[in-house]
Amino acid sequence: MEWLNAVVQGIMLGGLFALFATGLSIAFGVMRFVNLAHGDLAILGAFVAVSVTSGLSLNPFVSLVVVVPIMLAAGYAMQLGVFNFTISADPLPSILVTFGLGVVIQNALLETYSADSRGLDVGSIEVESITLTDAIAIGWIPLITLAAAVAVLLGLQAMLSRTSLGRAFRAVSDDPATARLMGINDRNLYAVAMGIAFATVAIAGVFLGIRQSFGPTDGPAQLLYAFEAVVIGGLGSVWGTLVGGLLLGIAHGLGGQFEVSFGYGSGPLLGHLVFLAVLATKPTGLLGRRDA
Amino acid sequence: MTPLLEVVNVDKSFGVKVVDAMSLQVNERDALGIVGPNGAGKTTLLNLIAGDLSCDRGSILIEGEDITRTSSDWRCRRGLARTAQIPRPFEGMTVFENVLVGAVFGAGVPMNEAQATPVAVEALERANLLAAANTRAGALPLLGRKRMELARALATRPKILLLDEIAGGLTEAEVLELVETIKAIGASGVTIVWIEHIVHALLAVVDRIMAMSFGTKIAEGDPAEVMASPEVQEVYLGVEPE
Repeated sequence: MEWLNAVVQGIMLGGLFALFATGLSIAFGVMRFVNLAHGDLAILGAFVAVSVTSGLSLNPFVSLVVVVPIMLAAGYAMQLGVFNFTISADPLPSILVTFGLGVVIQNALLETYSADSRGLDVGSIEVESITLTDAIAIGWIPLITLAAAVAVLLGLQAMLSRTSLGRAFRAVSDDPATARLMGINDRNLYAVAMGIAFATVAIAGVFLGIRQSFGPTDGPAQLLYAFEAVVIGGLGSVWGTLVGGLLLGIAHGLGGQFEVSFGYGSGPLLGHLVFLAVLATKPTGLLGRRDA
Repeated sequence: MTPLLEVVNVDKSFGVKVVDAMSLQVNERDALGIVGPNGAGKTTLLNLIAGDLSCDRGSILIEGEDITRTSSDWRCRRGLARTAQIPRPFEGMTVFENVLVGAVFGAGVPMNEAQATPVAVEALERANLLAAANTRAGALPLLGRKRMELARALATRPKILLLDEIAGGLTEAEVLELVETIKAIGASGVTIVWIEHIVHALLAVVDRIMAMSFGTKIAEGDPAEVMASPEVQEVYLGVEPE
């Protein structure tokens, strides 16, 4: 029962990982763009929520209505103003530029909010849970996080497969030069994709802030988990991102069972080992495209 | 009358000059054929017109409007469409979805899917590919892929259609089929600029031929006269002048 509980809690944590990984997966899937500032953007989203919740005295969940559009616009502008100039066959410029952006975000957050840890307070729901059996109880917050991750990924999948915008994303992902010949403004489309990526990572950041306390320099650790989830699931695959996040979460949950003998790092350690195992045996990820 | 498409004194060099002081005029409803040996700069010229490449010098105009510095997606919306020498379908999509992309984004006016669907269907009909609409594009045979290149280009409702060796690699019977399709497209009012090695296919459609060698124009005019001229016989067919 204890093990089953570890798996259930791991799945819940996996929802958060999947939410983190979504934006990374979009940017890579649409324009082969590796965003090293992704974790810092999540923390930025959480801090924007701190300002919105205190400034407008909103519940953090409600603050998403304000935070998500702000980050969407920021992503759009960032792609048009900066990232588009780094897109080429060579991935190095985008990696360097986003690495620098991460440093800028961390220091800007330190200047603005100080180094203190913050949290986003949603009231008593934080400690409430649904009791399934004596040994298994599911917290409302992790459950809502998982539901949000599934909803975001379902929405994304529907957009990609059924809408003109989604078809344009698939077209530029496949062959940008030919997509341009079909009249698609690829640069503008990349900006839309980055807007969506920023919006989803902001949601992830807000859920992170509700779940645990966070500080300005916590981004890189989140980036690592997001990367692992994307690589496990498969680059550029929507369902892969969900599967990758959930598997990584389960690994963290099961690894946590060894805390007594290995210390508090045992959860992330097993996650890293699963990541390494997938990378070694199936580098394209469990559901990855062959060309990725 | 302002020409529909005008190429004025255009240069392009990749270390060596591939297109050299090229000038060209195409009027509305013209069907122009471009011939020349491999490496003559024909595809490069087409890429310059379509905006895949930028000119080192000179300018390109549509209906008198200078479009030299515009992007290829902008030129598509302005009325230029091209097909690729080696078909490049979006392989994961169906044939219909491929064509729908062109219909939605290539028209130059904002269009939703409901409005674009009849345009895509019509383009498929004109390219004689409607029967394969729900096939995955990657699974098409060569003639189907060539027809899909045509359908995608037509879906953007072009004023000018640039064809790059669209008959290349096809069997004789397939070439004849495709020629009929292209003739019908020309007859419907679309201006055609067609690069082709298969001369008899070209002669069945075009009313003017321009011959290129080493990036320059060596002859232009009536198809039969151009093909018979000593310059073309020499560089293109390898016949030594007597």
